[in-house]
Amino acid sequence: MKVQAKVNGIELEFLAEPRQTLLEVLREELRLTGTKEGCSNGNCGACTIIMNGRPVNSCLILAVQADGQEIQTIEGLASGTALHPLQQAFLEEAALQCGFCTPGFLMASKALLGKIPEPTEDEVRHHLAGNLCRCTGYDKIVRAVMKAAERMRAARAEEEVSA
Amino acid sequence: MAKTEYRVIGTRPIRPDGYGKVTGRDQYAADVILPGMLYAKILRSPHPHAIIKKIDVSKALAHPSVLAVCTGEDFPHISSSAKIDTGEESIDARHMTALAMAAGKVVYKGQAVAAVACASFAEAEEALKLIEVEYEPLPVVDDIEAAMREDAPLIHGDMYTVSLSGSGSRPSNIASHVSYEGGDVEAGFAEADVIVEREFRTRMVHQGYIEPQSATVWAHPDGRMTVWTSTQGAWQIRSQMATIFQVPVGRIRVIPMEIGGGFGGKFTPYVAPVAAVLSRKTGRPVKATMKRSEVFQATGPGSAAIIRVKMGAKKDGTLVAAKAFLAYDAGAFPGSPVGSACVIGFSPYKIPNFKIDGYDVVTNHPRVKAYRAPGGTPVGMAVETVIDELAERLGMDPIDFRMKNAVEPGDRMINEVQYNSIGFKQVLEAVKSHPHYSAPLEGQHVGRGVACGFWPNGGGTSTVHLSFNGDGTVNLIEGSTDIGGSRASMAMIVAEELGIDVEDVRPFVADTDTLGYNDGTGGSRVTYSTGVAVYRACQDAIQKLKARAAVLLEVDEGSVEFSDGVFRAGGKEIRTKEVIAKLNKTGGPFESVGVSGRLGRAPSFSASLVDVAVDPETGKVQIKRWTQFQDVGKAIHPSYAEGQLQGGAVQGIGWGLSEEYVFRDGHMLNPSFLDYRMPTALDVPMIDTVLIEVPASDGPYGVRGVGEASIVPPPAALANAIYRAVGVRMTELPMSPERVWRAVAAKAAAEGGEVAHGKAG
Amino acid sequence: MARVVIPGAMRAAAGGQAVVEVEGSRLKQVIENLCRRHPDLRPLILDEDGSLHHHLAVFVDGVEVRAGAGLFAEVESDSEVILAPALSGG
Repeated sequence: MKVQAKVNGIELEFLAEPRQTLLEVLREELRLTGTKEGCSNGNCGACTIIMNGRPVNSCLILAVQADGQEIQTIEGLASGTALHPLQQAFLEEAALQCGFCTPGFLMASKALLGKIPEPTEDEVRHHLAGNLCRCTGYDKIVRAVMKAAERMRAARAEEEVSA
Repeated sequence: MAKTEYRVIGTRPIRPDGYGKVTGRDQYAADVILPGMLYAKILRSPHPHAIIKKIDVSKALAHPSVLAVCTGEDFPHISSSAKIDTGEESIDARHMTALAMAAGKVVYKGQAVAAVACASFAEAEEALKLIEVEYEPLPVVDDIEAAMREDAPLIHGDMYTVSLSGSGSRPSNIASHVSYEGGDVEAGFAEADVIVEREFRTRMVHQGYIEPQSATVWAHPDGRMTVWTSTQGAWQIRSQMATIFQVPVGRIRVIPMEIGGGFGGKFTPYVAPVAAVLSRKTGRPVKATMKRSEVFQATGPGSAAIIRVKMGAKKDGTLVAAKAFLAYDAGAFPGSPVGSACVIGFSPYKIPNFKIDGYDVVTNHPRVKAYRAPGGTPVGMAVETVIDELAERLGMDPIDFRMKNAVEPGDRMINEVQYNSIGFKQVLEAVKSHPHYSAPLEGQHVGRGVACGFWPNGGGTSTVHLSFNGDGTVNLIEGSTDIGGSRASMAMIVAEELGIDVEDVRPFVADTDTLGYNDGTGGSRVTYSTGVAVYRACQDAIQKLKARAAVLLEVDEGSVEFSDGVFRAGGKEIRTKEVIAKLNKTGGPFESVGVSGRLGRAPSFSASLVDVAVDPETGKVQIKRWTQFQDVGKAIHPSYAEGQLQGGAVQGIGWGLSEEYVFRDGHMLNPSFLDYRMPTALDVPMIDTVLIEVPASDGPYGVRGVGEASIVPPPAALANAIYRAVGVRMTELPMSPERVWRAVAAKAAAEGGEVAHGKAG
Repeated sequence: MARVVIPGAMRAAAGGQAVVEVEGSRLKQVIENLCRRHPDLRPLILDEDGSLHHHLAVFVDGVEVRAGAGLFAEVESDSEVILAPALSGG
């Protein structure tokens, strides 16, 4: 079946079999291998992408369901080579060790900050509870998200001042 | 190495591979895509124990979508029971092949029986249904006690119990018996004023790496093969593949991709051998990736254990005797970490009289593998809660009790190996003086617990190269797969020693064809052993750079001195970066090599301090505060050292509160992340860390291995906290809500009262 | 003469001794001399092919040698050689 979707800002057209998940098509057909498969049944969050502004487990979405939708994957988080504040904060806070869960966490965090721009620690933990990390114990991830939120808040405040 | 102030060591630069990880650019094993690549899918035994009577692959072979089929017959028959050192353990070569694919018999549910290669994964999944296997089920050995009974069904008819005093005379499911004895344990107990004796049961757990096992193999017409895989040890995978296929190691090139977690579970080729057979048959690259349920059932989890501990102390707190029985579940083939466990549990304490017996027991479960401080967590639960109880009965503070018996440099472990520089007392002092230790604890059913841990840390061998670029930067080629940020630390050592910026050092992880031998990433050895290799390479480079500096400064080589990144002679000076940039002008390029080996140990002691609130109506344990302590020798990159403490602590929390394989007749009932419950961000608070730095005897900057000691104490610390919260001593792991609730209810019933009501906290 | 520490399970085969002084500049020689003096130790220390038994760990001056130089490990005149059950790592 033919699927048309906006992926990382670009209108794409691709073929997908009805049984294929969006995760499989992203990785195998579109060669966007930044989104990872950890469990295939929606329990680890490694496959998290943003669809129409909401975080979803791409292993639970059929590729054909992406027809007409807007999708953002980890490959679309940075602007060219300029890192998103979340990516920068993750690096500074050492919020990754093996890095496998990192794309999923970054996308889930971006969706969170889109919904709650200044989350509390509890809110961060609650919204990231669907993303498993086995290496870090979550401490530095939570700190990184809070740091990014603060930087984004400061950047917005500066914009408002200069506007 | 005596300096305590460093320019780069101890700072927190961004890791050099970080950009690739936060942009999704870095390639992990399942990301490999090669021209003409095929996909493999493995057919797995539905029976935990059965004879394979017949495999009929004819329908699969005839199907147009199937390009090749593999069964156990496709692997060389290995007759000798020669043991192979995999770098983590030694395993019988025949067992190694059986882990890749069964032949004749299956001994755990999920064991590979056949496989197909197709052009797509979906076709491969469908094609498996065309393979017909006839099994004759055999009686299942589902737990340690059943396995140890005299009349137990035998899993391997040719297995006899091995011990240091010889082999047993009757076949048995007990693969080996280790024993340690010192002093006179009965006389010791006779001197004790207080004795505590308890039995503990812990369950099988999984390392839980988020990235499933994956390998792509391409067999070449000249008999060689290339393996792209997720592994902690490329050279170890190479030697195991060479053993399985009975070829010289040089025929196999293993390229380690970025790895999505290992924790000891990625030293064995689980899917690469099958992919290799299919690639040989088709001439095309074949990718084999496990699904999560396969990871749970067909890789190497951490052992379940039954542990009985009896310890005695005098009323002044001096330990006088310890007796212990440890039986660890090895799974379907011998090789549990019971030998380590016997030593690790008692390592922190001076015990004059002891008798420790450990049994390695086979069952019809997946064959276990190392899981971060292998063997340590179950025995830590046992010993550290018994110690807590002894201290309580004597009215002593738990840290004071430990301090009284703490090992010091020069003391001997129960295997007689002598401690060199260790920092256990310093860890204990750090715990006692930490604000968390004396902070007020408010609320109902709250409690604070502490426990300690130990890991000897590995040494082993590493090889590294330094090469130099015309822009003054340095390439560091090393062979230690980076699972925790070690690349960053190694680059920092080069920057420190050569006096250049860490951004000017570019580390790479090489493969088995492009670098000399390296032991694997594990056993807490990389920061130490690879660090030593890097340090030595730097010293070699400095000598060679001195000669080049002499040319540029137009002085005698002998008059050049080097310090802090500057070469000086005759009142003139030149910085390292400039000397490197001008190598081609002063004699041409060179490389520096560093090798480490035959290193003394650099052991680590750790401690977990936790505050919990327990809801007696549900048994739910909420962690309110956690502080993790460890002697790391020297934290090269403190953020990544902290990360090891935090990661190990949270794995320990899962082991302690929620993770377990639920077996029924050899079938795992919960092979998914939904029901195998690992901690999420909601289950844990911030994990505060305290890095203690007692320099190790050998190694640059006094650095120690850091990765493992943190997973040993958490369950015991939680158990000790739960005791103070609701008055029950837990002896089973995990301390799930149901188990805690039952213990609380049983205590209430015994005391003739009702279960306490009211919310915890 | 190197000091060889014998673990409890092997002492009976070593004439009941916990420590035996043995000559040799490589571990191979030390083991050979030890087994010559106490033949019952040979099948407990060495496999049929003459390599160190895989259930044994051997520490020479605190360093576990089986994974490295093994029987070719150097032994000094005042070295301590400890025979012990094998350990593992992760």
